[in-house]
Amino acid sequence: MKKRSRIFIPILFCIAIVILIIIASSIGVVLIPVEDVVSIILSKIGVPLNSSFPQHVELTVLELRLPRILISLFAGASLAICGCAFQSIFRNPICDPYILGISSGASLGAAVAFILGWDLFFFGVTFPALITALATLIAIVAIARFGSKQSTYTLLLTGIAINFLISAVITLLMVTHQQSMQKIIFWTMGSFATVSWNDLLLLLPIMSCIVFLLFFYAKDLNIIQLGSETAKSLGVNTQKITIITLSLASLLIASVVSICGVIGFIGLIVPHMVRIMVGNNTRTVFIYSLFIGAVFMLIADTIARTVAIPSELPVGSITAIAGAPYFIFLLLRKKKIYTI
Amino acid sequence: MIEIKNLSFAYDNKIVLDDISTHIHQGDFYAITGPNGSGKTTLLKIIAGLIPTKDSVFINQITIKNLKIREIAKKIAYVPQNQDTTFNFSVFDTVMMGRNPYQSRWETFSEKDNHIVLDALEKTNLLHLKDRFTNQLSGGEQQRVRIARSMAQDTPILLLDEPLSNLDIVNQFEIMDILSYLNKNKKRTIIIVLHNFSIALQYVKQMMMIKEGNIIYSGNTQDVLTPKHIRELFDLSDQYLIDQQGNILKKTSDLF
Repeated sequence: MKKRSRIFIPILFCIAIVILIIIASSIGVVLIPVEDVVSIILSKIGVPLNSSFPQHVELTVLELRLPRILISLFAGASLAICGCAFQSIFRNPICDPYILGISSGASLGAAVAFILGWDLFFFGVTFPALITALATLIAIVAIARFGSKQSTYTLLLTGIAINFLISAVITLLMVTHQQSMQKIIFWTMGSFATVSWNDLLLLLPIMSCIVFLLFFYAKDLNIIQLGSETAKSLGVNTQKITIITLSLASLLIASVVSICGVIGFIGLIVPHMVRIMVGNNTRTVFIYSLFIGAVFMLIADTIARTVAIPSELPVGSITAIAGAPYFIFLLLRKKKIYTI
Repeated sequence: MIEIKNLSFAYDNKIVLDDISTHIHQGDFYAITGPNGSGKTTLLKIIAGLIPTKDSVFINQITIKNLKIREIAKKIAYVPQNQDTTFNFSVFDTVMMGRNPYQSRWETFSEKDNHIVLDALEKTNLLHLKDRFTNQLSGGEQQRVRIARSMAQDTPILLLDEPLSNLDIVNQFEIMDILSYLNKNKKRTIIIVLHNFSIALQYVKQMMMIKEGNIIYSGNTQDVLTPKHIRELFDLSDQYLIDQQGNILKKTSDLF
């Protein structure tokens, strides 16, 4: 990326995101004028303004829409960057962040929480989901390392096997606890409907640290694309980098899934879109994936909550419906940048 | 420069290298040849530090086992036989990866790195292709990219595993010209796995024949590459004829 683009493109994305936040905050069941949204947000962050608004309008913007919008932005950014990391680690363009079964692990924790009635408590679903997701990650890495051939393929196949196993357990749990089935299904479809500022406080520090560390290892991930042996001969400790980056990306995915459930497609499609647009340099793909993932998810969630008022559509179906045709268009139009 | 002492290696209890000992001196241009599965690639990977072994390989009297991956990468460049990449980069970016052992993680590249990479691209006649993606190149061009990357790595030792395989004869000579330039002008020690004996006789100073994990002959290429040795190396029957350039011909009249 040229120096000028390196500065201007993130600035342009930031401006676009601010505009989108304001627009998304103004639309919903109750339409709130854009200038009122701006005033409410500015007064909240300490800018002295003379205008005042009804309490329910302020609550709608500050407590219902804004945390949801911010979490959708951060979740979209996280899914996209993790998708890119997974594809780079496994050198496989069809990998998505859920391929290792981390999402199934989170879903298992959530399913147990719903069955036990913990969903009524503070972080009652999020924490069990996070813990089972991390336990799944540890189990996958441990099993893969136990094998005689420690390769990324062993890791990938172990993850796929665990994914199937846990999905089967969840299905059995749903069949045997039918009173919780609807909640479990709705949760696994992914939604931002129940998120709050507390979720943001959980996600933001984890995401900031992990994104920073993934950027730190981006150059190693580039070299790993040349193959394990070549990467080693170029001074990259492939085994160490694989375990570290995989654990980081999985931890971030576990955090996102534990908050908003499983939202598909973004982690697969956004890195692809970005690779077609800017090439395969992992650091550049990370930067663009963060912004495009965030914008994509925010737009998808805004459509999901507004297109069929008063009910809501699953955000995952919106991401798929909107993204798939555009993705096919890009694939047909642009140069081939990866080899399958 | 490179000393191999009593090196033995086995995959799943199958012996691949059996008590090998040899010396390779600074500035040598050394070829390893032998039948498929004789242990050539394994030997090359062990020298490159890609397969861990006991104290059997020494670079300037230091056991390779005690060197960190990055330190080895500053001493030895390794060019594999095949390289499958899913996500491709431009020729310039791929060759720049050769500078990785000298760069920090946040660093893109310095003026010195840029100069070294452009020089490697020029020497390998790739400068005009530097912005192309590597998957858009021919087999010969891709091989030159790998060699350019190893040149950018700026190591005293260069190991190449069958760099001429799947190349037409013109590309084979081009690759050997580049290696010969690196050996003579840049004083690089080169070890290459090679099957083309006429090219070996023309370019390579020393040769080692490996059969079933043992070195059966080594020394000057002309002394090693005799019809008798070649016949022994491949267990060739009287159906095969070998000329003085190492070319092998098979009598086919019986077949038709």
